[in-house]
Amino acid sequence: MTTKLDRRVFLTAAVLTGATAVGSLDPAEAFAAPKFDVEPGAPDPNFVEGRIGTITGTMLFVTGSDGVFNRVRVTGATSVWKLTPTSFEKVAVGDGLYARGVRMADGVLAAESLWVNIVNIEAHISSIGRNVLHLEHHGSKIVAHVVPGTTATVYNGTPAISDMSLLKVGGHVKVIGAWIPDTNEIQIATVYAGV
Amino acid sequence: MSPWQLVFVGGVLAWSGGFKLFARTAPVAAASSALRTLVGQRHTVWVYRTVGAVELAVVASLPFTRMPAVVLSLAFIGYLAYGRLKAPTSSCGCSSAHRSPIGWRNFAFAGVLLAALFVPAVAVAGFVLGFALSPQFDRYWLIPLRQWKVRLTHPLASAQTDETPLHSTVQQLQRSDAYRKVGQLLRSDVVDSWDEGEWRMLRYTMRYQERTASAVFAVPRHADEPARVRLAVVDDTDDAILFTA
Amino acid sequence: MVAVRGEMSWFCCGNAWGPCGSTGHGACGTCNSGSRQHAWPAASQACLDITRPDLCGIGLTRRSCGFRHRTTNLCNGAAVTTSIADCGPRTRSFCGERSCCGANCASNRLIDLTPSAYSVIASLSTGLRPVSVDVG
Repeated sequence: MTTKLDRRVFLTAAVLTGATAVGSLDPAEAFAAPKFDVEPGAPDPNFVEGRIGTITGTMLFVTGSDGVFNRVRVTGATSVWKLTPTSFEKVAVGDGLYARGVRMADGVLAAESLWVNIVNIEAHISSIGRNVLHLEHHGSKIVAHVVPGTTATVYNGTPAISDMSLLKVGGHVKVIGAWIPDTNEIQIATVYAGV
Repeated sequence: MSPWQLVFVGGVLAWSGGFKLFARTAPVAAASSALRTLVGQRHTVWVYRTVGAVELAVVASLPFTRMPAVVLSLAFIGYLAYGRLKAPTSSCGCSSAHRSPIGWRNFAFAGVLLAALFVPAVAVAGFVLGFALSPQFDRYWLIPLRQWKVRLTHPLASAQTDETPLHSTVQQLQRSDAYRKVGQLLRSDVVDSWDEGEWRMLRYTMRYQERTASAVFAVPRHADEPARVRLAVVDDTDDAILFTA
Repeated sequence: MVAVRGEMSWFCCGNAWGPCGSTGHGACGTCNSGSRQHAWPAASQACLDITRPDLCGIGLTRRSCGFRHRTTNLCNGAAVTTSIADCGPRTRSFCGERSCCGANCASNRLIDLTPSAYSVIASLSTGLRPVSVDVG
């Protein structure tokens, strides 16, 4: 049985030792124009949004905000984001999610990407406390927690850094973070700010 | 009424009424106010303007009687209570387009306005209290005060680490030629990431010819050198290396 | 086809979970996170009064709800066509902000896509990307 560690060792060797490709992939050929698969303005059948009601094995049972019920299957090839790229075990009942994948004939969404509790908030900083930003977003208050070692800041499009000292009270920011379910609190993944 | 009462109450109502009637951002303030819930979206703006006209009419009546101002102040408190209960995320919309949920400061300001109609000393203090209690003036005193506190206490200092944030690695990857070659074929976000010496490895899922494969990028971990980014595409089923760059 | 370069982000709508709970269905009343839609800074005159892209030096033609725009991610060349469902982003709050992928750069917040549309051409965790938008 191949463990995750074995797989990492194999893939590391593949990319760093200059192995010769034996397959037939041709990226240029694969760059065909994307199919116009969904009418603009229409619901996207290959996308699911909602909250997780039940988890059975690798199947998530999700209730959408419009009340529609969806089943989402997660595989080893599915990316799972929950504050950082993480594993399926971190996904919990009650979490909110966005999932993109391929809708199968039986109605199940075979997920390729799963973003759990992800939020994208335009706000201004009303105050700053110890490892916490107090944000005002559309008239409501949000407590945004800094996670040292994970939280990054992008100042005016420059490479992300962990230094948050240039953030200013009163400044406008965009925050990508992970919502803590059923609270007005989030954990910060990335802050985008002007300087 | 004393001149202080006339100036304070008249000034507040004239500002508020003038904003509602003439300001370019008045429709924006109206749309985010609790009035939208109270009268419905269709009627919000004209009702908002009408309230402004009433406020200016009350200003004109102040030298003769305080009763219209008292009724207006009580109605204002009632409106705030309604907004707090029925539309908690709405703003006051009272005298600016500043978005801030209705809170204790709005109630305190309404109380000061009402009290100033009866007690001249409150009207005198009202000039300072009104400044302190109105969210639109925060930028002149509260925000500078909080900025000063941050400069003194450095509350985010412990967020800084020596570790390169993963997001920084992803940014560098996206500026590389290797990424541009296969970027459109990637079907997932980062599936896995790990560090190997000076490299940070990022694995994505991609699809080709109805099969799935792993696109593994090696990105310099401590340097910004996107030209050095390496790529291997490996078939997930038989581990065949399909493409390298 | 005339194209404008700018920054793209995503936003939720349709009373979804989390901080999106009170967002509603946007200025057009049709916005849902699961639909291929976007917010446009010039969705009406009232919208322009809020977003003010002119303050960042961008002149945009006013378009109404349902108008279609095609957005191309300058990082990978992927594109998606969406229709206007809301007003935004607030361009004036981030004048001069710049995102790049190699030599492909774009300045100023220009368009916000719904999560469904954004995830077709970029990962939601990126949050901000340089794009080119066909404006007709």
